[in-house]
Amino acid sequence: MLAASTRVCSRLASPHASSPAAAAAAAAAAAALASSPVLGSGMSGLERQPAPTVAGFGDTGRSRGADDPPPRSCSSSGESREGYQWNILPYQRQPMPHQRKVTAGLNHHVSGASCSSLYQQSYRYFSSSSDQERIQAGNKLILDLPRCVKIVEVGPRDGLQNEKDTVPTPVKVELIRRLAASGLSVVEATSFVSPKWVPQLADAKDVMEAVRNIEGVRLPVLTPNIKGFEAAIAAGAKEIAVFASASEGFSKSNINCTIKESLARYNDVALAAKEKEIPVRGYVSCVVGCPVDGPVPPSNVAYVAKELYDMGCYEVSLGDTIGVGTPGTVVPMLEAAMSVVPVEKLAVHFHDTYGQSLSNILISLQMGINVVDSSVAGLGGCPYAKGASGNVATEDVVYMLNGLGIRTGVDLGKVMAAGEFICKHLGRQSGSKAATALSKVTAKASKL
Amino acid sequence: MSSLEEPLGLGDLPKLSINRLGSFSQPSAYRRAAADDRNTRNSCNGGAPMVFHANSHAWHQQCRQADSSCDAVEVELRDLPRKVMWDLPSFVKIVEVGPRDGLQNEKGNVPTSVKIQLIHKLVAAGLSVVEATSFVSPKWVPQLADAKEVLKGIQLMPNVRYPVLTPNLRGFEAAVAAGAKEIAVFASASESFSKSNINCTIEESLVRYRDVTAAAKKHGLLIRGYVSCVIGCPVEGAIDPSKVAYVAKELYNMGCSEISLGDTIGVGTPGSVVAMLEAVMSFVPVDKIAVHFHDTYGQALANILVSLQMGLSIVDSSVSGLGGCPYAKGATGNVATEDVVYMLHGLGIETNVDLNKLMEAGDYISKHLGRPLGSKTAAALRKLTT
Repeated sequence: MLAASTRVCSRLASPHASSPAAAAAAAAAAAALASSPVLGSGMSGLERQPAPTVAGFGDTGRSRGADDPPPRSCSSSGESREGYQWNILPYQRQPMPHQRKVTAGLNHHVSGASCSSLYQQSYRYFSSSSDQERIQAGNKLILDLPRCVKIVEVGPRDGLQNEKDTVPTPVKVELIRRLAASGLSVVEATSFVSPKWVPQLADAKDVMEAVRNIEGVRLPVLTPNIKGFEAAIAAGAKEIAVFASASEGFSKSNINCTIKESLARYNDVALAAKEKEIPVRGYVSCVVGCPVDGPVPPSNVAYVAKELYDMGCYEVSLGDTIGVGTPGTVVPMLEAAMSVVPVEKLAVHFHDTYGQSLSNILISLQMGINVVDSSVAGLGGCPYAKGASGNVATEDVVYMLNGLGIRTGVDLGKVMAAGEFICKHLGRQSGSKAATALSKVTAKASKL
Repeated sequence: MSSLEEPLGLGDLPKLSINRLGSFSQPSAYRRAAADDRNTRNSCNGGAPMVFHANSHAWHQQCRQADSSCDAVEVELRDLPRKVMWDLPSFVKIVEVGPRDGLQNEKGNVPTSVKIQLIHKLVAAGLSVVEATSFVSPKWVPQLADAKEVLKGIQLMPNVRYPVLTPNLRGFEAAVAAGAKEIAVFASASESFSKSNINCTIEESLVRYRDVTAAAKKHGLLIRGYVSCVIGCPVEGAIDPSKVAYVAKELYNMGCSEISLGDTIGVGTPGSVVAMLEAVMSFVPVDKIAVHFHDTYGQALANILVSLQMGLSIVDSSVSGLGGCPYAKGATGNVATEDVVYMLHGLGIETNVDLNKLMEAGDYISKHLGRPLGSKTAAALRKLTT
């Protein structure tokens, strides 16, 4: 029993927390806390390495049968339409106590969340069989999550586009550089829309030309029409994105045309892109609610998602534009989208305007989604409720995913640094609670 | 412009096949569905065209075979919402800790009359449990030095509970003298935190509380037990779930009618929360367990969601997110009641709380404290309507 609890502890312990120095001084402990991967911060960061394959599970009591799918590794490179290969293992019930190895930060393989079986061995007392079921259900809730999640960083585009102030080109370029260096594999660089509509991104061409050669990261750009597409290609873009609404009201008020008209326009863009072998990412906005039309039927979302997918988008990102979604509305919406687009081609793009995004992301992961859009430091307010927040903060998402033992390839400390950098230039506070808390904790520790 | 003040719940959606969620309630059916391996997926040809079925409003793959294998795709999809949403409680009790846990951790001091008004407004919003104050030495918690006056000054409503903190017999006696009908005691799952916070070991604190709870039982008072640092401790780091289970069990056995598990520094994420809840649920019935998450790292709502999925139905929260984190100065602390209510209503879960009146209470106290609203829901709705 002692061994079991030590093993459980070791999932959570960082190498530093067990040293005598850390135990002695509260200040050192606070610093250790900040660097402890277990407490979700993962500040020491995950290096971008291929994930352990199923072979690493060999000694956990879950044996791979002959019928199991071959192990697929989490790859952060390889961006064809066939997309990322994510290692989603079907959960298999074991009558014996089982352990799932969860990578906690520093490639530290330790016992994972399924320690209920350890407790059941040690404590012979159960209150009732239905509580037993609940405990097993709890296990399933967490163990069935994707092993890897791709984070699509939209700060430099969706973030900056919705900030009051405009930021100079060199700052934008530096932000993109820092984000790329933190391990993010996709960073939305800019948008080739008319500066009349989005003055904050008027320097799209300059930004694109400056970042086009950054290695190891994909840099999609928004292109609402053929003109924008051609400008993007001329500037060196290698990936583009198009945006359709699931709500007619929003489509008309936002881009001045009906959903069908916009899809026809994007079809042209997609064809042009296909000719040049440029991948296209599709966005659906207002997937839960619309500031004009109110609740949006999930069948609308399915329709638009399918159209985008059929015209050649390698991924369709579902955006809760005004942030009103809760798991009660997100689940039916995802169910509809998943009935027409394979789940691995779907991404979720939640806004934190009502504080709901992390719970929405969690439920999406439980539904099988493994691509999440977010914005460093929560850049980008909500254009429909002035002063309210918008995008969910990348740091908060990474904190949760690290805590769940889900690989992202992202170094939380480096993202936080990028967030600090851009917030300084924007003269605003970080919109990320995790970043704020971690910087307070380490600031306090460093004073001692 | 349509009113988006109430979250868009399932009731607002047109009647799609997905509303089957509401009719599903059989755990045995869940087990059957869960037994289906994921390998039953894709029994149809991968490239079969999709056909929209008007009856079920769902897309189906059109299979050449007329047999039931084509139902595999839809069954698989139906299982997912079932799996993630099954057995959510239909009612969640919110325990409002703003007047105590909130104000105790705010910089500014608030006059007694404002505290009393706040409690009245919270009860008027529909909250049935409002932690009123704390009978600890004003040396430690100057913000709540007026505990006696607050408790005596509240207009007690029927069917509303007003627990007060009592760390020892002296505090208990003062609480009883002031008319308390429910008390609360606080133990830590972390030895270091116990020593640094209340100057004694966990065992010593439990011994002390046994005296308090024995006295409370004699007076016929209800007792609420809190466990702090259930995930992580600012001194020790990660906390072993078995320790949380031990403390929870001790508190439950000494007579606490409810055990609130507190993630004091807010470091929990759904994985660590599930592990901790599993441990506690081996000893304490699930309907006696409450969760008290801090939003310091933005994780509270996700943690609450997974707790609901585990069967819990009592959530502690603080109006307007009152109460910062004492361990990371300037960082946030308690989760905001408005945000919790928004999510619960969106899930179709009853709370009896009127979000508008709740927001009024939050506005009221935030103005008096001179601080911005700590609830994103309140901030967003306020911007929308002004």
